[in-house]
Formats: sequence, structure tokens, C-alpha cells
Amino acid sequence: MFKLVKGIRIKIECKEVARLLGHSPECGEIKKSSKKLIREMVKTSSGLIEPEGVFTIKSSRGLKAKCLFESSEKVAFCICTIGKRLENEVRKLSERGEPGKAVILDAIGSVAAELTAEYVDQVIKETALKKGFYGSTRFSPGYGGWGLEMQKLFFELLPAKRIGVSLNESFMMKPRKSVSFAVNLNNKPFRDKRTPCEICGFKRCRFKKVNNSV
Amino acid sequence: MEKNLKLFLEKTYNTVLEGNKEEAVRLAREALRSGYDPYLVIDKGLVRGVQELGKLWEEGSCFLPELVLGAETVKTGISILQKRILKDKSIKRSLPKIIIGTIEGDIHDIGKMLVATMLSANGFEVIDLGVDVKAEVFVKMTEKHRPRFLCISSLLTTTMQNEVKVIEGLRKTGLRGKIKVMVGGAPASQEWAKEIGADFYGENAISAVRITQKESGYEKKGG
Repeated sequence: MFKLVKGIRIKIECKEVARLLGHSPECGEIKKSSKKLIREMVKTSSGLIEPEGVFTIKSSRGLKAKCLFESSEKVAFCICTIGKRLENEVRKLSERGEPGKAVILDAIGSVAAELTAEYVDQVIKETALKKGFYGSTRFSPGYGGWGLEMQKLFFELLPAKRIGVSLNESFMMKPRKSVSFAVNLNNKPFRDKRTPCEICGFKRCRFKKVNNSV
Repeated sequence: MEKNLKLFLEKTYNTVLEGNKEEAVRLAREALRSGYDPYLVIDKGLVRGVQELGKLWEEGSCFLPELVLGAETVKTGISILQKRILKDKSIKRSLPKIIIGTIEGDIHDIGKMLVATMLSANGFEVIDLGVDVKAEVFVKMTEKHRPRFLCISSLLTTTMQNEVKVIEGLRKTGLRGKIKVMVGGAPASQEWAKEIGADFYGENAISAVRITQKESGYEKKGG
């Protein structure tokens, strides 16, 4: 059994796009021309983003990667995407010799994919709560010591084709702006309320979300 | 250097800092009309501007799109000045050639495209092979174009292994000693470059520029 999540509405904040592009307070005020370009690209992106997701909830018994699932009774697996139109446009801009616009649009795609994952994560948690289960922080293959090859498990459990997502031999998802994640579910609330950024061990990541960030 | 030229180069430099492509077009045309040495305008005006942006970006006081727009401005200016360079053989100077691409299995494009943009904005001739490039293609294109550098990008731990095949291919065809190989991308490191027998690890677009300039001696010529 799986559930498709469609009709997702997300709002792209220019500030978040700027943060992902490496803007920090040390950079000073963003130039008017850059602000204008970010706004222009956010507007362009609205017709290029098609967020959707698919998830399933499984018993944790018998699942591979026991270390990740042993503390939970059930595990939700999810794949979500914003579709391929935005990245096609990024490629076109890049080929047309407009790398500035391409870089901004690509960052918008990353923000959109993350917002889509947040939205579906919320749907999963609400669905689980109705059945008396609490959700953990979501975690993804390729992060926090969970190998990228674990992507295979998601594609075995979910009909990713229904949302147009495929996996290549290197365990990379197509379209690129797709996110896969798991959520541990238990009948007691999880104590660890830290965000994925707070848990991640990559200390020198310039995109790390910390308190008081933009 | 005459006062007018000095002022002109300063104006060109500031145009890059502002990322103003239209102004770069106007200034490049003015340079040609005034008979200024196009290489001087490129080196002391345009490239100096993008180098300053690169420095600011590394310090964290410049924002990525501003760096990229600056690079675009340089490329726009160079494209106009180059027409004159190509016409006049007396001022021709061969620019170091670089081949760049993302390794097989990996379709990440943006990081590689940024490095390619910064390299060409700094005066290199860049041949971009795109993404998901097989090791054989890297070798074949190296054989065909005989570049000074080969830059390989990988954003995944699963695909970076394919970079080994490129090095092996270059060895088998006797090309390895003739070019310098640089690897880059999130999972790469100095240790990784050493482990697979690459010459350099480029941490980001600016360090890639710095390494290629230093190794090709272009840094001294370009100022």
C-alpha cells in the first residue's frame, strides 16, 4: 500500500534561495540587481515546479539497515520530486550562456524540493498520528553515514515511476530535484527533536541551518 | 600607461564588479574603436575584476550570483575583443586549453558549469564535455584536443570511482604525462586526488582557476 501526494502548494522565499546560494550576513546587503534577478527567477520557476510525492508505511521488522530502524515499530519511506521541467530550463540557460540565471534557478529547485519533502513529511506524520504513531526527524540516504546505495530500498518499496522518478546505477535520482527520506514511527514521541542540519556531522557545510540564520 | 587608458581599465574593472553586461559590451566596443590592446583590456580590466570578485567570494564577502554575473560580464567583453584578436595575427596569443566534464553516472551540472565559467572568464579556452561523461570519452577528447588540463567533476561517492578509469585510460594511451588532471566535487579531496593519481584537487571554482593559472604560468602574464 502506498499513498500519492499531489496538489502540493509551496512558497519559495527569496531569502531562502539567497541562503542556499551562500549568502550570509558577512556578504552584506544583496545588490539590488541580484535581488531583482532572484525575484525574476522565482517568478519564472512557478510554471516549472510540479511537486508530488509517494510514501508507504512498513513494519520495521525485517528491514535492512537495522541500526536505523530498530528503535521504531514502523518506518515511513517516501520519494518526492518537483519534476523535470525546472532542471531542463536550468540546462537551457546554461547552454545559452546565462550561468547566473542557471545558478539561481537551480537553487530555487533545491529549495522547492526541500519544501516538498517538508510538506510530505508533515502529511506522513499526520497520517501516522491518526493511528497513534509519532514520527522521528526525517533522514535520507547519503547523509549521516547512511550509504547512498540504500536508495535501492526506497525504489523496491515505492512505485517511484508514478511520480516520474527513476534511479540510475550510481543511485542518483532523476529528476535531480528529488528527495528520498525515511521517518521512524513509534507509539511514544521521539525525544530527539533536532533538525537534520543539527544532527548532520558535516561541520564545515556552508548551508548548515543554525539558529538566527537568514 | 596613459591616463585615459588607465581610467578606461578602471571603468572596465568596476563594470565586472557590478556584473553589468551591457556596459561591458559598450566598453569592449570603445576599446576597439580607441585602438587599445585587447589583451591589456582583458587582463588589466576584465580578468582583474573577476579575480577581485573571486577573492571576495573566498573571503565570504561576495555572493555566488554576483561572482557568476561578474564572470558572465567578462565573457561578454572577451567575446567582442576576441573578434579583433582573431583577425590580427600579430597580437595572437594561444590560451591554455582545458577539458572539463562530470564523470559517468553523475548528472550534476551546476558545479562543473561554474568552474567552466570561471576558467573561461579567466582567459582559458574551455571545452565542456557535459555530464555523465564516460572515461573513454575523456580520453578520446584529450587525445583530440591536447589540452593542458583535464578537470573531472563528481558529486557522488558512487561515481567518483569512475575517475580512476580516466587516469588508467590516459596512462594506457600514453597521454598521462602530457596533461595535468584535476578532480573536484563534494566528495573529492586532496587525499582522493593523490590516491587515484590525479595532479590536483580543486576545492571550488576559484581554487581551480588559481591552480590552472599557476601551473600554466598564465598568472604572471595575466597579472
